[in-house]
Amino acid sequence: MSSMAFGPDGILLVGDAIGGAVYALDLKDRAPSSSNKVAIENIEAQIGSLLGTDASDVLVHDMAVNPISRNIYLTVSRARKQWTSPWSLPNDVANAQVLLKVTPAGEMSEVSLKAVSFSSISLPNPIDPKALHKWKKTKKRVDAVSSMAYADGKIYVAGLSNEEFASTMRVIPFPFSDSQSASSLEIFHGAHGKYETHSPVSSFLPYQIAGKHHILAAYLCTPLVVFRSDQLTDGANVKGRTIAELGNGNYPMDMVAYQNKGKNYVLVINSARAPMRLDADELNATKENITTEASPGTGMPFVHTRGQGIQRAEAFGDENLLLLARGPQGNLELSTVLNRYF
Amino acid sequence: MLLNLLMLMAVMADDPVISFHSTGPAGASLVVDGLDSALLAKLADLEPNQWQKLFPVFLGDQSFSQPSKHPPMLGSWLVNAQSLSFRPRFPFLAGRIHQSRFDLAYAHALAGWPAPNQPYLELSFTTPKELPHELAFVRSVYPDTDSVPANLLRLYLHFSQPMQQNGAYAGIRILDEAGLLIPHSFVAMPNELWDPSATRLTVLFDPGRIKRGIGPNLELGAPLKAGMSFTLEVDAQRLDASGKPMARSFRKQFSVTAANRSRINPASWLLQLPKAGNVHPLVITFPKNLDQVLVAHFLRIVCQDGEPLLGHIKVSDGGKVWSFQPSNPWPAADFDLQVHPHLEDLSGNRHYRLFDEPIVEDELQPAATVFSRPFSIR
Repeated sequence: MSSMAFGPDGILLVGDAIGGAVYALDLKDRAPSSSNKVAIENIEAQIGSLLGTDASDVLVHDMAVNPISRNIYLTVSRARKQWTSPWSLPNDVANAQVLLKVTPAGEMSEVSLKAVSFSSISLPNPIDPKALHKWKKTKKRVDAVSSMAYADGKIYVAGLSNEEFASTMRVIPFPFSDSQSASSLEIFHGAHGKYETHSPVSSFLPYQIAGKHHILAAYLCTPLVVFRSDQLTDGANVKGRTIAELGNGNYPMDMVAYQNKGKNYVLVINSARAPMRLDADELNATKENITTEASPGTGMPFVHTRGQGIQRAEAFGDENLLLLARGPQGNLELSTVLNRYF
Repeated sequence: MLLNLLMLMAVMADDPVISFHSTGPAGASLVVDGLDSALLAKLADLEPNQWQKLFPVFLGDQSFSQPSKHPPMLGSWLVNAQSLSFRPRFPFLAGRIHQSRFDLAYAHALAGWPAPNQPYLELSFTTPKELPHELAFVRSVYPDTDSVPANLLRLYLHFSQPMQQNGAYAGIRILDEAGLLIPHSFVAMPNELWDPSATRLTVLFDPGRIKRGIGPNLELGAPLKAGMSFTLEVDAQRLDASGKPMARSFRKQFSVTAANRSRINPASWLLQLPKAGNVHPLVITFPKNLDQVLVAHFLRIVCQDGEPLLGHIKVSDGGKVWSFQPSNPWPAADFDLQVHPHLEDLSGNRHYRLFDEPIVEDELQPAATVFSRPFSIR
């Protein structure tokens, strides 16, 4: 269970990097809710109680919110004690072991995968299980699925393949059929000053830019790139346009689209920098195209927002963001914050 | 009077009790004994959320007098005729205090029984501290003999548990009679040759030193010479898969006999044939030891229809004896003993070529074929 996203009709999509597949789970979770508030103070203590361990060993891998029921899904493991490097992501440290459901009121239970109805599709040619990252020394296979999103009948799966140009975006029509495409992605990495094809997309959103369907993607260290979705055909080598350099020494952990006072924004959540707000009007208008070495802040402007220690952010209804964030006491908190504060 | 007697009997019956059973790192469980079997029968088909209410377990020292703000431990609950048990999904943390409670009142309610005198059973337990990790050791070495030919090609080391896979045979060496290192004996390889279970290591002597007429052989000579003895040594510092060194180092002495430069000759093997109708093994005693690992894989018995015969192979006496015991009684029929071309003796010789056969130009190289040795069981 490497990555999660919600498909249509409350279907939970789960990417499995190790097995090289995407699963669509029907958890029959479709009772609509208009709940607007979540406030769980120390979610690792709750998860630890379920897993029989201390909060300090609970590792939350990913989070997704069912847009219909507003139930929150978390993939977790007992492995945070092994997370010792700022360059590791949870999937580098361990495989997620349990899928949990948390209601907005805070009731936590395991989602048993025993009698779940599901469909699945294999991802052809995922990166070799033995490949090691050059300096992280972690298994590259965990990034066979690095991030996933669903939009307009298609599942977008970013990750690493076994092709010469490893960074890949797969487009899989859903419901699953026989067809899927895989395109290799090439980007100019401003902070590194060169073109790259080996680093996986860290976080992305399907997004309308200038009236056309795009993929807005961010990578480790931290180029912000746009790809035109109509170019993502099978076997194509797609060059992205780097529109901003968000800064080195940083993982873009998550991206979420939201509205504030009627205007559209995208918030980029970072491992080692404050959250960055991108203005949709700027995205539509920008002609930036970084092709030389660039320092942090080059390119399209962004605004640092409030928010400390945020690991994950999801939309929670139209007015709130649901944030998984570590507070001043060191406790991991799951709580909603109004969009207007971002 | 009768009522008093019945109540006395109820008190004297075994009271139910929770106990902690530690059966090793993966097998610890909590067991409730002393429950009425009729009650157990009613608890056979509960949902997980009912179990969590009936028999919750928590890490820590919190008291049950206050309702827990956290969910109980994930696990599985099992009911059998005499007791019920809880096994946690993930191992209990070692050396830590835990709390468990069996809600007897709820059990009675689920069964439609009147409330019990004692509503709860509780057990506070501390799990044992981590069991000391058993350290690895070398179980055996193949060839399982005291003497080896001077042109021995391989040694196999069997470890008692999975090991870390290093390069270059770190910590493995051979010493001469004076205890001095015989250097450069093994092949220089970046990756060692391990079987999938990571317990068997193939140590390859440097073929360049064994093959006559090749550079290293001309320069350094063969590492082993007939008439000498040597000691194989494996350092205790080699690490197992969990990163711990071994329990002890390993040493074995071998004496060295003349180099073996003859092909394997299956035509000359003596087959001890059993009679039809029984399951006695077919036994072959080879004139010279064959590679103990390869002979277990590269010899088989095939029926007239071409299908391999099902049975159990045993290799013994350092690779001198091979026996095959059929799964079903031998029929009176014709069979074929098939020798795969890759079967080797201790020096790498095969049935169709020597390990160091000179390549003569314009001569056809011998074909690597299956050697077929038909036999009949009557």
